[in-house]
Amino acid sequence: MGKIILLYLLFIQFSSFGQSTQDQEPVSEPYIVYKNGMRYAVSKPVVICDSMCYYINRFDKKVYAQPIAKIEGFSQKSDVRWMTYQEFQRIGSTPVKGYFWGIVTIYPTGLGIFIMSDITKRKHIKKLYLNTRYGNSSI
Amino acid sequence: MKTLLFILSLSISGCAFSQSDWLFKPYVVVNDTLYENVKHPVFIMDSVLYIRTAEGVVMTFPSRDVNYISKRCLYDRITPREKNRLSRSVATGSILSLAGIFGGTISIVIDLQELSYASASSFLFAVALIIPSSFVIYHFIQRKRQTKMIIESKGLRFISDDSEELVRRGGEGEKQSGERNSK
Repeated sequence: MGKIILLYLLFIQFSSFGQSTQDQEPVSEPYIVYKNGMRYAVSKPVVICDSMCYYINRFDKKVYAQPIAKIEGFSQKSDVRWMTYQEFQRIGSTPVKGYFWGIVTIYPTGLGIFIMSDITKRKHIKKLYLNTRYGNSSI
Repeated sequence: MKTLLFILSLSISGCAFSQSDWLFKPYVVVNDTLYENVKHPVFIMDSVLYIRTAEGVVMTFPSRDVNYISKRCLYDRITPREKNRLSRSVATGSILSLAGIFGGTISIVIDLQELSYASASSFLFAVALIIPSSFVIYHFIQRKRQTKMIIESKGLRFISDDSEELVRRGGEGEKQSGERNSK
């Protein structure tokens, strides 16, 4: 009898978990806030170029391009980069040099981490550019 | 005679200092309106003056309307070439500069501990490390502040609350509408 009650409680737990909305969950910084109040988790960096804002959603890893008129703001740790289209194009169209093991081997650990951080961000900017340039961004 | 010359030069420099605007906190005059206690950096980019008021509000003015910028603003004019540098990452540069300052300080401290005075060569070495590194870090900070001001001038803001709130996953729920970038 005890086991049946335990199993019953377990099913209730599962069913109540299944009712919760899967598209919303608490996520920490960095995030972007829309004028309608919605917050979306993003990967660093967020790029602002001309009148558009480009970002990578941290959950689905897709690139989004939005007019800045729709955006309210960003969290402090979003690492928002304002850049000219020429600079965006330059970063987006030049190869990102630097490989993980190469950097770890050559540079001291502390410095290597910062170089890797720069390279990762550069790769993200490149992804943003390529996706928006060739029209693959989600809008 | 020397004392007289010294007093004369001192009074001239004192007079010049009192006449200049170095005594006052940074201010700008735009369209005959005075904006006092502006925060650094004050800069002009694309013929637009960017200032941050004492309340933290970013204001922009066409440079043709600017009447005066005080010397303590240390205002900067950003050229198109420098504009492209604003977006560049500063992580590696910052850590190298910090290492430079740290190395220079250590060099002086070791000299003082072992010799009880800093030798000229090690002092010069330390200065050559510390001063350029400090300038580099100052420029990085200014660059970050300038970028932040440009972003805020576009009507966007930085939210400083640390509370975890509901964040919607992208691509689901509300459809994000926008114009596809045709560039």
